[in-house]
Amino acid sequence: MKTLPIFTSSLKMFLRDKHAWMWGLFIPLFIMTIFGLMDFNQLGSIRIGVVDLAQNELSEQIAGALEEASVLKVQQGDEPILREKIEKGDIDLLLYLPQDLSVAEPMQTGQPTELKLLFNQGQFEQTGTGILIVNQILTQFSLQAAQGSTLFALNQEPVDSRNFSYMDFMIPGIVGMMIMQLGIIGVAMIVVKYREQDILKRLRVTPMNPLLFLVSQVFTRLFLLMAQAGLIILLGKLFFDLHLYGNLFYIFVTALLGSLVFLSLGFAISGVAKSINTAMSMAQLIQMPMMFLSGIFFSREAFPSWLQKITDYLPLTYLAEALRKTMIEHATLYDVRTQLIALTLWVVGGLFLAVKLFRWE
Amino acid sequence: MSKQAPIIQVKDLHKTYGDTQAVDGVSFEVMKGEVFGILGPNGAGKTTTLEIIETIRKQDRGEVLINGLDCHQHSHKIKQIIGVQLQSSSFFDYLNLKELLNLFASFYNRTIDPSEILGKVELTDKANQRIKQLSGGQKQRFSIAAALVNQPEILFLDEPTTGLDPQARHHLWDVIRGQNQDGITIVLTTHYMEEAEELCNRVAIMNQGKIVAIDTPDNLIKILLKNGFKKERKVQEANLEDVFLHLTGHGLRE
Repeated sequence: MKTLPIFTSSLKMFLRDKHAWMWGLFIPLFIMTIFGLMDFNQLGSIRIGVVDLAQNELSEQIAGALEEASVLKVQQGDEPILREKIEKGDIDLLLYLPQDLSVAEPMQTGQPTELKLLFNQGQFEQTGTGILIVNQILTQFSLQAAQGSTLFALNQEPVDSRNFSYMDFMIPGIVGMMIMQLGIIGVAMIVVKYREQDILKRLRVTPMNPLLFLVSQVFTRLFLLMAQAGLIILLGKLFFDLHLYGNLFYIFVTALLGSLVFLSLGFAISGVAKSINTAMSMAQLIQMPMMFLSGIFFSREAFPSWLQKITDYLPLTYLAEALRKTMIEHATLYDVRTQLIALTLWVVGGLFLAVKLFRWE
Repeated sequence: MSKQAPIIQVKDLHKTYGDTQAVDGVSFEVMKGEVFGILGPNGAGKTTTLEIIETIRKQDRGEVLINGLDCHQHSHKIKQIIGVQLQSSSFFDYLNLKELLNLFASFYNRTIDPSEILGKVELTDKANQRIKQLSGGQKQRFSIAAALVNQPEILFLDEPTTGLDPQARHHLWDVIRGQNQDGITIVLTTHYMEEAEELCNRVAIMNQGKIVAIDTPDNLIKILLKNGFKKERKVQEANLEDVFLHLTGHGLRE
């Protein structure tokens, strides 16, 4: 039996299959671009409005100090405008610097000048942190003015820590998602189609073992999945500022194991589904919930704990976690052994189902 | 055409699906070099019979010998010497005709010249096109081409002309006759009686899983007439198909 032409033909078929490229490359890149444009890192900042009624040296110094704090986004302006903004929720805090703002007066009277600070009640996290920072800045001014000696000074040393961006979180997830979609849809659709169109039957009247043909299809699909995953990672590094620290071999092993899970599930579906439409629906029924429950686009930490516990066991959760760790966090295969063992169990389960359910006719 | 030796022997074949007796005691022989037709209405058991002979379905009872070899014990050897066109089988989308033929040849461990085989079914100029781009008649012809990659001794054609327009059907008949003249034994199913008369040396007529008659088309007609059968209408020298072809021409439209 000449096996090489069978493999090269399979490869040709997949390379010419536009759907495979759409699911494998275009959609992941599209999602990455959209989410990349959204820039979630910005969401962490606290927006503060400053109404400067004093317009003196001190008020300018305070406003300047606020602007220097990197987490604060300062907007100065007139009272009515800023007031409207905080009511609409466009800013989180609004600080008033009163007309009589000075260092001398409170020193003489011993009574601190009161500064009004409005805060958005609905945004506890932002306002809480914001109030602390504003307080801290004002305290510093008081100490300086009172010429009190500072007791403690923080000696700050910058550390070049690995700062994970949202992209670093998402790209490994996207790779996992792509593997899932191409693995399940690719196999299920092809096998059902070949069966529906009597192609499998046509193969069975030749002396070739049709199993060899299916194996060739799976191998070439695996090969392409790995290539497409590599391409997404490469583009992520080039254009989306992906911090790729991991060992490529570890990433490869993880992705391969994940592919096997979904390829076997695809075969299982192909055994149950009678038509291409049923296969498509069944594939979506499995894929859609997993896309949102496996922590691809956002962390599962936001889930209630019972949901977290359930989604812990999803194959895509394991794959996304293992990919994230091997790609971004320097993890070795030993470090992600839990996920790899779980994926292996999924492969075993998937293969069992596939063998049980697969039909030639 | 030498018709001495039977190349296919079917003996007392039975096959049931659930409650349906699809094939119910079918026996016949096909001689080397002949064109043998299996006729019958839909559901008569033609395709099942054919698929058992083609080794992709197992009979419940009975025996099929090809070249004296049991179909199931020697299915691998049998597959080497038969070419099969399935009733509605399609081919892979993303390969062109040349690539498809090369792929099928590799299933037989053979190297072929795709354009030579495409020439046999007059598709040489379509070598670089894909299945999707072919007309119905061209698809059927390609299906025959794919069945020829292993230079088979027997060619099985399951309703090869169903759904084709008269021009394409007549063209396919020429292709089939050409293959038979090259020495290939042909077994075909059809429900076009004209096709059977036109092509077949002998036909078996099946009904409800049984063979109800088997002979040359001429003999079958003679027997019927001898038993006093008379057609209501006088047989004319031409029929409506002749009119259609006369008006629209014999040329292929594809």
